[in-house]
Amino acid sequence: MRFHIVGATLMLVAGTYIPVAAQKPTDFIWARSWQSLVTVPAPITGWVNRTAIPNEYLEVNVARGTIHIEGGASDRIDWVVTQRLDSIMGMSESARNAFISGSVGTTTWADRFTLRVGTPSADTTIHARAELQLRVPRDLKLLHLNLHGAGDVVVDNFAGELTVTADSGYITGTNLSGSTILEAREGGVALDLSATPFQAGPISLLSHDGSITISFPPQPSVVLELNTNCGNINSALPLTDARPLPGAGRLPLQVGNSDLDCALRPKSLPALPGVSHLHGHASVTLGSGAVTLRAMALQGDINLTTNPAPASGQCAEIPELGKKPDGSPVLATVIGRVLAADGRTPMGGVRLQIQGTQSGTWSDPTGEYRLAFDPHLLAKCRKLYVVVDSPGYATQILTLMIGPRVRADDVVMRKH
Amino acid sequence: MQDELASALQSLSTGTRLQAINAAASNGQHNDAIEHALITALLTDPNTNVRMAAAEALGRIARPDVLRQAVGRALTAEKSLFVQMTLLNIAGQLPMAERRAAITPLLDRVDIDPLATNDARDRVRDTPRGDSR
Repeated sequence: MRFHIVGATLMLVAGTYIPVAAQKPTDFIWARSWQSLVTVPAPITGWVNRTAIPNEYLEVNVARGTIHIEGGASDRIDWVVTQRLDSIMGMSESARNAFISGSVGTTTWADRFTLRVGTPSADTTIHARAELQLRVPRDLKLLHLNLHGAGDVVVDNFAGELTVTADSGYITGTNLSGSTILEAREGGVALDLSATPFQAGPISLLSHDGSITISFPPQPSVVLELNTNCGNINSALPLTDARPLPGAGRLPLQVGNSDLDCALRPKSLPALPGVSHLHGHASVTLGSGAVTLRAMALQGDINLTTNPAPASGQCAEIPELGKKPDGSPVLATVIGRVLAADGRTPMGGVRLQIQGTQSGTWSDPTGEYRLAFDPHLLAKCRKLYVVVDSPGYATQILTLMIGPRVRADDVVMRKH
Repeated sequence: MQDELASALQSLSTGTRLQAINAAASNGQHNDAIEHALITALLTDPNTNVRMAAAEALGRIARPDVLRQAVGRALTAEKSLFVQMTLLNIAGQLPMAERRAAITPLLDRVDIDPLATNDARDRVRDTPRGDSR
């Protein structure tokens, strides 16, 4: 059994040499703080039956933290809220717990049910946040999520309408089959459409600073309306019959990358087999165009990839690695290397974080990283997404999946 | 058609509102009621994706004088950079005098991202850039 990370875009970009000074040694100091998160021992739990939710409309508002949602067969909505914060030197545990006691509340309105997770502290320098684990009926009609501060949103296996607004985190969606309307203001969006065909409703994706990565089955049936401003469209799908979007001033996709308003971006992209590099605005119909997908990225890229849908019952078994003395699961590890934009120079101090989990690591000065995670998160053909981040460089979203190799593909960073 | 649109735009479902706007845009019909409904969505809908779709729909079907007024009103208050950029794209189809009238409210604001400000300035220049804008 092997785990590996694959680059979501299969993209290499020529760029400039990254000086050692740019490798941000202070990031390692921050890393130690980041890894020493403490947890309040008693999470806050609650539940509500779907019959008590007006219009089957569940609204979730979280001040700051991670929202992890999984659809299931139950008719009950269950939540677990855990408050976390970085260690604070010199503060006793009791004082710390009192300090981060956040609020969790519910309200039944005339038209909806609201779950509200308040901020533990208004002081954003404390790095306090909530982690919300939510189980919902897979076919609940309306699920609206609003994440007002830093943090990610991860949604898996949901067939109702999903609307998400995240101020500064990443939004990841897998196994979604209803209307999907996502807005990531400072983060990115990763949507995996390869396993579950969309049946109804529009898909609309917005990303301000981050990238939009969409995985399709090999022969998708979709109308794509793509808008890029500074970023590029890196597509493994054929976009040869692109038409202008209605409205003056919009031209069909242009081959090559955009350098409009983006002087720091490289002027040219090396050709890669099977990947088109384009920019602009266009509508493209693939297959019978059963559903419309609109994506707009202002600063980042739009990455269109294809993944073969796993055949029913063909998901690989996740090995049972056992448990540690404290009862926590033994973790699997994926290893790999981060390189600068020239594709050769090792790049240290780059953060890799699995979205929606506490699993994260940093590349060392030789560019190598070891990323430990709970392998059970990959059960039932699920994928995980890894955000690769370094100040001054374009954030990348990679896919973590079960694969035949020990080592991951090299991650090649590039400047904004 | 306009009754269906107005009704759908009252829905709690973001997807229903989006679908109704997309249908109105692809239908190609335009009259006062449809334009009014789309302008209301552009100015008041809480979801950014919906306001953006309403702006694009207006760009496809609204008469130029209605479009200029709608873009001008929206650029006075719209906070989302996505919608601002979409409105600037749409304003590009207006004649220069009307384009300037529509875009100027944005340039008067102090809370605008430089991306939108630069784009707006480019669009009201006498000599346009030699690119797709």
